[in-house]
Amino acid sequence: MSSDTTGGFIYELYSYHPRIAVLFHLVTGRWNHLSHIKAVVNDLFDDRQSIFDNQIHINGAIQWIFNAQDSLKTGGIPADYCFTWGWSNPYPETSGYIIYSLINYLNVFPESEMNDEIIQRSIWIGDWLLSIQNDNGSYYEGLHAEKKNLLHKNMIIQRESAFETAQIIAGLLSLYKKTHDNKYLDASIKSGDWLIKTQETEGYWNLSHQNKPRSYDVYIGWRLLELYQIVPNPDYLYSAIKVFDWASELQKENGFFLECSHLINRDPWTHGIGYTVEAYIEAYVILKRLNIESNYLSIAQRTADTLLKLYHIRGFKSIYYQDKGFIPASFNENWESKVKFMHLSGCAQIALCWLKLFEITRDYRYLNAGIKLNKDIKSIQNLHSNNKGIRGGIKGSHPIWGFSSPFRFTNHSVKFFIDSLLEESLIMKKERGELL
Amino acid sequence: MKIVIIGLKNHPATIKLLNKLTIFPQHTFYLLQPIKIPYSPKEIAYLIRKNSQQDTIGIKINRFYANLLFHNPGFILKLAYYLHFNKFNDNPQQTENSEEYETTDKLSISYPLYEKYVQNVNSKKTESWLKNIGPDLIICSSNGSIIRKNIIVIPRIGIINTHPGILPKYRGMNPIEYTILNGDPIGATTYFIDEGIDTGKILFTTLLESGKFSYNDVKKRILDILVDSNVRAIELIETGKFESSTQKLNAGKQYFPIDRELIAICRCKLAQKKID
Repeated sequence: MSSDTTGGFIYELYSYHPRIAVLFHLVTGRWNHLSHIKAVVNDLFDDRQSIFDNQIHINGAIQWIFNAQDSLKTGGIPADYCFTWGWSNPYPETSGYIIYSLINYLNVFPESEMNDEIIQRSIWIGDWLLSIQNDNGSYYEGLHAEKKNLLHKNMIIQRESAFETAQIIAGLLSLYKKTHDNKYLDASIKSGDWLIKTQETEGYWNLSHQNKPRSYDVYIGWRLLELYQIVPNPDYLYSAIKVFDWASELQKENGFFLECSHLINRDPWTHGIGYTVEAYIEAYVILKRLNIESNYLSIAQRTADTLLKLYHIRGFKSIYYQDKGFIPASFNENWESKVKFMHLSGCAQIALCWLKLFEITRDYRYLNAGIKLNKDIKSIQNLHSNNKGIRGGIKGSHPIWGFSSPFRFTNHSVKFFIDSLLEESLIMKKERGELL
Repeated sequence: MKIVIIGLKNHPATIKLLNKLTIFPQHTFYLLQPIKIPYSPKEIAYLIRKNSQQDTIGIKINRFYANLLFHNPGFILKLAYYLHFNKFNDNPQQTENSEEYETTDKLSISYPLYEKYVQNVNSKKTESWLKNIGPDLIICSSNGSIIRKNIIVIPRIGIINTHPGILPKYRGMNPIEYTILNGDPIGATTYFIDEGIDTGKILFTTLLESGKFSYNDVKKRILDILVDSNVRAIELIETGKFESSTQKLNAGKQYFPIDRELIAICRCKLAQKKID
């Protein structure tokens, strides 16, 4: 799971005392930066930004990733830009699946001026990931130990993680498909083999976050299926189906997935729910391509349809969002929520799931909701700030003091924002193309 | 029969309906006008901001003025605004993504019409007013709110609504647009309102004649169908020659307010539609 899985006392703070974490950032934030104060004031008044064409927003987000990468000069992408510590240490997991998004950009906008730079920077991330891979093929959880900073030391865990290893496979495979350089494929196979070895008989991984199996581990299954498409080792397929079937038993009748929170005894963020639904959609598509029948589409739809209704009926009124649909950052198992902020990465993931479901089902309700939610997020992206950590970035939560990722612009929010807008652009191209 | 029409007097659908009701001199008609302006300061701020991104400065000022007035808690002010500017619907959720109906028709009726303004169609005031009248039938002409049980149980026969989409397939908002996107036949369904959203017993369905229409044409023709269907429903109920069928809810889906991008696709789809 991304960015919040950190270590030391800050990790404890985020996990068990999230509201105190907000206070921590309030006290330790660098408030001498005018851009930080502006960001808070904007959210106090819910001041939204102008909405432009998707490509402008995507380019802004990609530029944020470039700025993040340049802040470290090793190739990895910092987990976030925080008002307390600035750019953080690089985060292998999210750096991995950011490659996937960057390469996807090349497919959607093949004539963009940014494409050469995107390839170079993706290779830079990929080579950095190869350099930090463990001998057994795994990757460590959390931030990579690189910067010597007291705060960052408290955020580093050296524990092998199945989930994070799988996300890096996604990036390496994308690079392999683009460059046909076998070193990326070899590293992916090494990681895939390690995942199979460490999987429990029931289908889950104990080497997951906080050493507890989570239903969003199906995201590992999706990556194994992607690997299987290139390297048809039946173990990958078998392992993937095992985790999908195991997690499907954790789904309630109302579509809610149990054990979907990376924090113990807390309601899951929409981030985790988004991971799970997207994995089921993608697994359905891949298995269908392989002529294997599955009920994964209906599993994904059960959750996605509930979220669709929740988004539209405006049952969740926030003092910040009376104008449009609002998806709170977390839900309990009855789809009730007590929080009054949005987890923007989760929102982008949900929009992405709806858009992907539209491609499969041609149900225009999904496309409509996906476009609307993307517009909501676009209106939150600041494309004009002087601060490189803010300009083009997407906050962890909105308003910025929401305790899922307080006072931080996270790289996984940016990644899923890019993914969702790319998917929307692709669909709208097809829809308009059919009409021409 | 005592028939209550729920709708705003300046809404084209209501004007057309009231004009047509002249053919029923034997009935007594009442007009319930729900001027529902539930804006909160946040909603108004959003409206101003939204419009400021899209509209000219003149429209901005006009909207700002409108929002300012609506924000004022005085019902009299709201009523004055409504009567003065002839705005029939200012609910942002209803109008932001849909074309407003336009008409050149003017109200011209020869029968006495008893009118009542209310802020909320489901309020206790509305309930007691209706109970005093004891209506046989209620017709929904232009009403943006969901009618609740306390009102549904009042009329002897029921509440009739004509939904601009084919039920049970297209329940909820923007059924015309979703029908166009899916390439299905466009039409309207007249049904008895129950506690669900567009889930009541169906009286009859009317299809739009086939032909090549623009998006605006479709909207105008559907408006005519809505009015004609309501008149036909009164005739059927008067004669007692009607049957209503229960909907199979699994056969359809509930739709939600549509985005402008999809309306643009609707327009193109209709423009490129081939006629068999």
